[in-house]
Parts: sequence; C-alpha cells; structure tokens
Amino acid sequence: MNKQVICIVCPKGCKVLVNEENGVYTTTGNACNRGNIYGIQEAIEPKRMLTSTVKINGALHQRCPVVSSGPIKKELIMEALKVLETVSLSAPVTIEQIICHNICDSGVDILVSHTMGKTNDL
Amino acid sequence: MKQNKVIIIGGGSAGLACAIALREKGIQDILLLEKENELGGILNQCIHNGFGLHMYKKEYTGPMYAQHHIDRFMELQIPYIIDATVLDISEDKIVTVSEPNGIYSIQAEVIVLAMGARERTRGNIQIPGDRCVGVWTAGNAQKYLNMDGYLVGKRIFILGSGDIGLIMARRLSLAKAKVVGVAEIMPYSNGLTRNIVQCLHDFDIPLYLSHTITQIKGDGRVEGITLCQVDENRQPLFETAKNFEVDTVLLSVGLIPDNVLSEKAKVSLDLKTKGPIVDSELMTSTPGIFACGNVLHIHDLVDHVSMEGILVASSIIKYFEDNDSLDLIPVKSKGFLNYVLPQSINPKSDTVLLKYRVSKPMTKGILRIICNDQVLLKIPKVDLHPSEMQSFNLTKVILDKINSNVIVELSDE
Repeated sequence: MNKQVICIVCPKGCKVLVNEENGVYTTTGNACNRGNIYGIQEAIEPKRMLTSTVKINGALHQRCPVVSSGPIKKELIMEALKVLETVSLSAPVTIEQIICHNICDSGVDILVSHTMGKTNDL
Repeated sequence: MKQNKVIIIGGGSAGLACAIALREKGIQDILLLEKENELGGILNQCIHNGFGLHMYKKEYTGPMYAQHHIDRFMELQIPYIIDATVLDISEDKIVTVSEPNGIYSIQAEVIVLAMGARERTRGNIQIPGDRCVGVWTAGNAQKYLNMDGYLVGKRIFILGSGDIGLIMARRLSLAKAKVVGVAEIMPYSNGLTRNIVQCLHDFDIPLYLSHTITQIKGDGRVEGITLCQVDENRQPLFETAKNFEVDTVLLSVGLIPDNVLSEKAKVSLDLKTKGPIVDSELMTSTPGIFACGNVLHIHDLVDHVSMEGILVASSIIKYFEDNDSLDLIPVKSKGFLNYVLPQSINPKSDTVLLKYRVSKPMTKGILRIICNDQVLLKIPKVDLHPSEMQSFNLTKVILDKINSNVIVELSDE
C-alpha cells in the first residue's frame, strides 16, 4: 500500500510517501523524523481535533464553543457532530466542563471551551 | 475631567495582555475600554484550536486562549468598561468615550492603541456584478455561525486562501453547507499548510490558485459567480471563465489595521503595514501613545499579539521613569521584504525584536543587518513565506554597533 500525505508538523509541508509492506511502514520524502511519525499515523488512522458549538440558553450568545479533549478518529467526526446537535446547555457553564463523555465510543470527551455566565448575572 | 494614568483601547488579545502585564509590574491606575459586550475580542469567534503553541506550548481554541487572559485580568481586578465606544483621541491624550453611563472625556498620561483590525470588503477589492444579498466577509460569517448560530448560506464559494477563509471552509462544511471552491489570486496560498490539508483536502474542496471572481450574479440573492484564471500581472484571462452556481460568496481577502482613532490623535501611519509608525519601544509618533497587536500590523499568530502587548507594558514603565525623547535611528527594508517593524530603534531599548514579512515565497534567503555600509549580521534563512511573519532579535552587542540608519535586507544570495 502506498499513500501520499502532506506533513503538517511544520510550515515546510513535506510530501511524504508512506509505504506499507507486510505490516511494516516506511516513509520517504520527509525531511525529519516528525514527518515519519505523522505520515504513518495519517496513513493508519487519521485523527483530528473536533471543535464546534452547541446550543446554550440564558447566556450572552446563542451558541457555546466546544472542543474535544483529544484528537478523534476522522471517520467519527460527522457522527459526533450529530450527537452535539442534540445537546442543549443552560448558562452558566465553565471552561473545560465536560458536556459529553466518550463521544461515539471514541474515548474522547467534549468540553466547553469558554466560560459563559447567565445573562442576568452580567 | 476624569483622569487615568493608562487607558487601553480594545479588550482583545493585545489589550488584555498589556493590561495584565502593566498591573503585574505595579501600575494601578489602568482603564480598559472595550466596544463589544464582552472581553476577548476576535478570539471569541475563532472556535478552532491551534492558539497558544508558542506562549503556552498548548493548542487552545480561541475562546480558551481568551478565557486564560480574561480570568487573569479579572483576578487582578483591573478596571474596564464594556459597550464603550471611543469616539475621539486627541494629540494631548484626551480620550472621549461613549458608554452606557454617558459620554465624557478622560485625560490619560499614556494611551495604548489595541483596536485590532477590520476585514477588507467587496468594496475594497471591487468585484463587478450585481449588488445582491449573500456576499459576506469570512469573519462576519464566522461570528454569525459560531456565536449566534446562523448559517449564512448552503452553497458557498470562498475568495481568498488566507487562514480565515480556509478555517471557514472547514467550519461551513462541518455545518453541512457545501463549499464549492476556494479561489486565490496569487499563485500560492496565503494559508498555513496544516489548514490547506485539514480544511480543504479533508473535505475535497478544490483550491483554484491564480484565479479570481470576475462577476457576482443574482437578482436579490447571490445566484452564481464567474471565476477566471489570472495572468502573471493578476489580470483576468476571460477566455478561461467558468461559472459556479452558489448562493453565497465569502471574502477572505485580508485585514486592515483599524486606525481611524489613531489618525485623530495625529499618529503617523505606515503605508505598507497600514499601522502606526513605531520605534522599538512600540511608541507611535505621538509621545505617550503606544500600539500593539493587529492595529500595529497584521499578525498570523495570537501569541505574537500577546507578546507585543507585554512589550508595550515594559515600554510604558520605562516611559514613566524617563520620558525624554531620544534621537531615533531609522530602520529601512531592502530586497524581498514587504516591511520591517519597528520603523526606528530607540536607544533606550536593550534588545530589539525585528519583525518582517517577505514579499514572495523563497526556499532560502539571506538576511543582512547593515549599518554605515557595513554588514553587522548575515543570517541564512530557509522556507520563507509571505503569510508567515518572521522575526529576529537584535541583541545588545549588535545594538551597540548601530549608530546611524539601519538597513534590513533580504536577498536570495
């Protein structure tokens, strides 16, 4: 198996070719070892941080920003967003408060990313 | 008249960092004025992660990065007013503000300009066509979506491949809008590689380099656009015209430092940076008025904005100790440089952080610091890109050798 990956570790943006043979992964085109690690991870199981918003009542704004506690499998992102569509928070909320445990069995939680007070407290 | 020792205009990343650093250095009499209804500035709408890599070695989201500073600001009990629009600043540092309690003037000893930037609009770049609904700046669309929960359209074309445009391409895709394409007039993208990969490639969004929108069509609402390739002089090649059916056009075509107030205080502006001309203490041409963050020049990383706010705080302390004006040494740029900041060196500065942007992508270059026809420093550089601000620290050893005009030159040999 061959897979072309653009490394995002630094601004250089190396074009890394990941090659798999009998379960052994090798890379070419990367200028450093970080490109090797990134390229292989990206070829085996690409992961992304997930940031979005959920509905919030009683706050200054209608939406509350949220973030995943760690990178989540790319293929689970759309499913996770569907779950977040059903979440509705009430102010106040505090930064890093968990609003969703182990979303889509990914092992990753979803956290509030901004403290939002109740509007009448402001 | 009400009086304050330091008035900071703007409660975004630059203003907050400056206020916190000033208070930590013992300045008590500070007043921060913010025109929005909360502190944090533009960070509050930038819900994606990747902020704070340099300052905190973490990848905060925008709101998290802001919260970090807001919490510290509140802990220090620094006075501030929200919903406060500054109407005027005079040369003798009288600030006129309109806030919920009324309109009044305040005499300041020092003013910090931290008003940030505005987005360039359709008017700024003059896209021909119908004047229909559905043409948005990317930042405005971002605010609507991330804070108010409104999606600005369903089939969207984005003009400009700066980071805001790319981030919005992903955000809109995740919000189930169809991003039909991103066009960039330059032959290279102005966004970070990671954003090209994670915002465009992940969603199979095509990037049209050396292309621009030559027409927006729509009766009432945007119905479509015409995209043309451009030649090396950025002139459209009309025979390459392609039409796209879209209901929305997002513009991510650059930011302009917001210096309407600075000009009222007779602060001289730089034609290249569109921000105040400053010395190495980040003091403007009006003594006692300092500038930091996007109002000074456009940054790509918030970390650098915060650091500028902190630098201004140190400069203000020095200014209070001794505000004699010293002869400034002009700094000029030469070669493949768009600009160099600061525009002059103040002999008071112990070190000077030179910031610059290159005028074209370069795989390697040589940066020279020249004074009296003598090369003081020769620094090899690799992988330079106009979208990435570069910096270089001039240490005391080098500064001691500088006694007249400094030239910062970037060449390819």
